[in-house]
Parts: sequence; C-alpha cells; structure tokens
Amino acid sequence: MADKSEDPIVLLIAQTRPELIAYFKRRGLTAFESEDLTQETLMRFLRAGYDPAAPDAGPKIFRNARNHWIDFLRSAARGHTGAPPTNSVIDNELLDDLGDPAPSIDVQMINREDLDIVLAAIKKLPPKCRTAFELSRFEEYSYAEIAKRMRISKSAVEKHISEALKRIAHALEGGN
Amino acid sequence: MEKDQPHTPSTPPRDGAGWVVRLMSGEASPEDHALCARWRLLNAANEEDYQRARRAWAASSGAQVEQSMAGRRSGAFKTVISGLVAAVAIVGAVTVFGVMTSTPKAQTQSYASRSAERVSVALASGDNLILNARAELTVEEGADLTTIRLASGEAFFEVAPDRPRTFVVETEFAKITVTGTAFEVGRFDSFVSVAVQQGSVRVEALDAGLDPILLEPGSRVLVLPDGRLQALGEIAPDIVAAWRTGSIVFLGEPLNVVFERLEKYTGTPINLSPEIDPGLRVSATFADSDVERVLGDLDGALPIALERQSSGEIQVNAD
Repeated sequence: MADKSEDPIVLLIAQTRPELIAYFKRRGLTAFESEDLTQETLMRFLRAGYDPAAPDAGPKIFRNARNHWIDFLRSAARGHTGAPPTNSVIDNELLDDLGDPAPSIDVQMINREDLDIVLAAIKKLPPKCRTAFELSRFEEYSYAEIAKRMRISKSAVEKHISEALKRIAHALEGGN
Repeated sequence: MEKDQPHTPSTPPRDGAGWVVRLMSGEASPEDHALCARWRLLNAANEEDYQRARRAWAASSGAQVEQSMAGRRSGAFKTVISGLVAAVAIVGAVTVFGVMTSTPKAQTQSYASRSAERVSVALASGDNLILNARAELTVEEGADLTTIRLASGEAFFEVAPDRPRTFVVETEFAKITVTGTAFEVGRFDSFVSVAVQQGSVRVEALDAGLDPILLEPGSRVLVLPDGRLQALGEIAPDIVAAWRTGSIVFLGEPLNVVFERLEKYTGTPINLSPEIDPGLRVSATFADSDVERVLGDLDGALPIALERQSSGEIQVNAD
C-alpha cells in the first residue's frame, strides 16, 4: 500500500474537498448537500478514470462540481424524486452542454411517501439504535457526544447508526 | 460501557451504511474518503450498497425536519419550540424542508425555504403563513402584536379576523399592517410586492413621508426602495400567491420583477442588461416544476436573449 502522504487520491481529496464543500455552500446548499455533492463529484472524477495526479485534475473536478450544481438546480426545479444513478459514468463533455435536456441528476429529493416510511422505520428501531440515530440525525450531536451520553464507545455509536440506516434503507425498498 | 468489538473508528466499514455513517460524521479524514472511494469502485455491488445507504441518509434529512416541526422532540433535544406549532406543507411529491431556530425568551422563530420548496407554518395564534422558494422571515409574537420580518422572498399570510392583536409585516422599506385578511408580500432586491386576497391591508413606504395606502382584494402594488409606490393591474383574488399551488403567474409585470421572482426558483442570479426595453411586460402562467422551460419560453417569446455564464449566472440581453 502506498504511503498515505503519497497516495494521489488522498492528496487530491485533501486538497480539493474543503474547497468543494465551500463551493457548494456558497451556492446555498446545506452542509449535508454540500458534503454529499462533494463526495459524488470526487467519485464522478475517479469513476471516469482520470488520473488524480494529473496537473489538470483540480480544474476537471471543479468543472464536475459546476455540472453537479447545475444538475442540482434542475433537479430542484423539476421536483425530481428519482434515485441517483448507481453505476453510470458521467461524460463531462456531455454535461458541459447546458442544452442537454436530460442530464443525469445525481441529487435526491424525498417524496412524501418515503418520508412516512422513514418515520415508521425509525419508530421500529431497537431503543439504543434509535437513540443514537436520532441524536445524530435530528440533534446533530457528534458521535463523541453521543458516545458520552449513551455511555458507549464511538465505534458502537457508528454501528448503531449504521444499523439504523440499513433498516431504513430496507424499509424504503419495501421491506418491513 | 457497552462492550466494544475489535472494530474501531479507524477500522474501515464493511458496507455502504457504515461508509455513509463514517463519511457524514464530520470527522472523516482524506484517507477515509479515499478508502471509501476505492471500496465503491471495487465492484457494482459495493456502489449499489453505498447508494442505498445514501438514499436512506438523505431521506432521514426530511424526517429531521418533520420531527422537529411536529414538535416531537424529547427533553434531550437542544431546540425549544415555544408558542408556535409548525407544520411542513408538501407540494406535489417534493418534501419541503425548512430551517427553524428559536429563541424562546424573545418568542421569535425564524423560517427559511430553499429552491423549489414551500414551507407552511401554523402559528399558535391561529394565523398561517406559507413561504415560497428561497424565502426567509422571522416571526415575533408579543402580547398584542405579531411582527413578521420578511428578509427575502415571497410569503402568503392568512390572518385570523377579529383578532385582538395587530399583525404587521415589515421589510427594509415597506410596512404592511393587517387587521384580518389573506395577502401576499414579496421581498426582493429592488422592490417589495403586496397583493391582497381577502380583507384589506395598509401599506406604508418607510421613510417616504407619504400617507399609507389601503389595498383591497385583487389589488397589487410594488413598493420601491426610494418610497415610490407602483400600482400593478388588478388580479382575481383567487390567483394571489398562485405559487402555493405550483403556478408562477405574471400579469403585466415588468421584466425586472419577473426575473427577480424567477431567481428564487433558479437559485442563480439573473442579470438584466440595461439595454432591455423597460416597457416590456409579461403576462403568462407557468408551472414551477420546470423553471428552465420558463426561461426558455421567455427567451423565445420576448425580444431578449438568455445566456448562461460560466459562473452559472444568467445574463439577459436585448435580442
């Protein structure tokens, strides 16, 4: 394994991630949306097979970010409710064409039915799982704060929240 | 303390849910992000698992708003909702997100909506308000006075009639006083718009030294920053704040008013060239579900040319 400090993907992420998050926040996105779009922008770049060590990696990523932002606006304007593509490679040049009437929209909005499913799934969570999840998602406690409050370890907090997420995901897919 | 497994925070998660939880912790390192990226790139099943968890995480963001606005927070919750009962309005299939803060001592609540969102708030007093896209306001409830400070965007107000307290909407350069009515106020950069559906409101241009005017149902007026009032043609009261039902209605409105309103939907600045004929007016009804199409239709129907800048801003030039 490459030394962390020499791993080109780590270096690229370390250099561009804070700027990407700031880029999206400046455009009015929430912290969650900014984090989410940042991750997906970086993934889009890596999935397309670009060299993270190339000199033009940064500009390419920010072009991706801009396209993501445009997708987000279109998604918001259309009230798009679909799921993000799971295995598509996005053609940056195609996305540069703002006239494209149907770009991939890698942004999620939630419909009413999903919201009811999520709320019902949360109610059914095991007590510790539910507490950790609600403190994290609804109260924005850090994992360390939750660990202290629940008197469990941080890794246990992560596991509880992960379990909650899996159950919610299962419910959203029609499971009980 | 609960017995911990060998898994520690630095141990890479083994599934999509674990990765989402790790990356959304706010404490993930660039190494964590790189490891996650490699895990997702490993095979389609990993990517699918990650996206499944990501969808669930995003869906629970809506639940966050729903829970907080429904006042379901337990004693452990940090935010106190006092004196107000708030609810989220769902328009079409899109969940409406709102941002709410509170300072119980001041009995003040703040609300904001984002692009393509509408937020409905039912006040404990029985009054209701609805925020259109990208609107921001605060509600201050005193013993005999409710003051709305509209910082940005459009809002529709339904004020209970025959109420003992006064209801006032304030903006930077206009003040609207109500005694029992349904009306809309829009706060934009270069004007404040007021339209009445029921009852009447008194509109006062602040610092203008002019007497307030009384608006009746169907009346519309723009208050300009210098205190001038610009009357717009009357409209049927039932289409005041038609945005509540997903329509964007323009009836003889100047282009700057049209585009300032559309900015709230695009979330992107729209800049008008000074060369555009100031006499151009727009009368049209659009669905708010496709604002790009609205822009395209305006581009095609009017002697204007819309150009998207590299910054994402939209420049409107004379054609």
